[in-house]
Amino acid sequence: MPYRISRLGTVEIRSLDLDRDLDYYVNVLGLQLTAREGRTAYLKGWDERHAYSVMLTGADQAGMARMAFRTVDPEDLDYYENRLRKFSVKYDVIPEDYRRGRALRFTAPSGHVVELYNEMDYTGNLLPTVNPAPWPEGLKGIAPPRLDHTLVTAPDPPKAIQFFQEVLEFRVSEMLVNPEGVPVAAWLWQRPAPHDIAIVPGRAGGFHHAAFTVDSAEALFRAADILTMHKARIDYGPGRHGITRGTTIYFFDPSGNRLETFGGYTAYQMDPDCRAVKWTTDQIGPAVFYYSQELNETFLSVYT
Amino acid sequence: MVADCNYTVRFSPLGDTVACRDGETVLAAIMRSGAKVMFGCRGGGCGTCKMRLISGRVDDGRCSAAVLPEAEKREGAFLSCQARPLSDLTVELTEANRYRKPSIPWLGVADPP
Repeated sequence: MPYRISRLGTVEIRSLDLDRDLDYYVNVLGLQLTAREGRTAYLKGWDERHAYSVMLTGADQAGMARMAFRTVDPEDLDYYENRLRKFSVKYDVIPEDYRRGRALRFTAPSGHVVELYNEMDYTGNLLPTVNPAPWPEGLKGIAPPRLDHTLVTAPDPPKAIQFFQEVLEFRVSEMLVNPEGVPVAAWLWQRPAPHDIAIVPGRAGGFHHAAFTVDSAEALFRAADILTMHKARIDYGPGRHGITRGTTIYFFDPSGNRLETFGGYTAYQMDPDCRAVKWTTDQIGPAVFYYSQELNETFLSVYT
Repeated sequence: MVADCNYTVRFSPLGDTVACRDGETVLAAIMRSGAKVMFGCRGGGCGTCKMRLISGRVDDGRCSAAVLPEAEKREGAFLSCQARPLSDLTVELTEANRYRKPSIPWLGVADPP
């Protein structure tokens, strides 16, 4: 099965105070502000090549307004439109959005608004395309290179996992199974990395976190230093996940949305025929927080 | 630092009190006292630190309408990570708040006698 989704392209995160939170996203998290139009600011990591990956939108509540996956080729959008029809998934065609072309918008069984798109303005990363340096100087804050994945909550995880598998053709890299063998959480991928999206039990439409890559252990600890210097609320870390093997810091933005710096450098690569790894719910401690070997009070109960 | 202690927050039914300094949130005052309560995002977004006023007034701060709707506010609900006292308060603690007394008393800043 060829992969047709190149990445989690954008997430739209709600902010209780856009000016305050934008300052945090630019100066503490260290994303690049690419535009601000009305109640939405458009941001991206320094190594992202398209116009934006994060929309920060002023609202009266926190959480994620929508997520969008970018297809590999324009034809893949038509391919998925056919699949949405085949599985009788109601969808809207969004002719265009800010610096983005046609999208298909639908609500997943998890309660999340999901979009698929292909065209977005290719504005380049912060490096030249001829003889580039490995990284740009003058970055602020944590300055993650890119958006990596999201984790969301669903009231009926098996149903949501099945939707992403069957309709959108994501594959499961790892799953958490209960004693009856039912997957209660899953990590799903299309690009050759452990996950583009993961699903855990919780409220419909719940936003657990969006993760940004950091590319070394040094960068991970530097991120923790920066968060603490700015008195950010750190939920967990620096640490490591058993699932995906990724290193992690969980922290919250000023509106209470959980974010993560994810050490993709420690996570593994997928082969096309990779089979799912299973974790049993009695081992959820090391599965999620490998070093403390137990869940903290907030991991499964606190989200927006 | 008695001069900085503007308001007293009393917990019901325990009777424990903490002193809330000028500009300090109820949650920050509790944490500074050495006591512990359950809280989540500390940004007004998740609602985990919700408590209920029995008496007194607070400035609610910036809270998600999804977790602190107007109807609940009218019944005294507030988010302790955002709320700043505008008077002495009596606050109801429930099991969800998971209040724990200071475990290392000499670490806390003592309330004024």
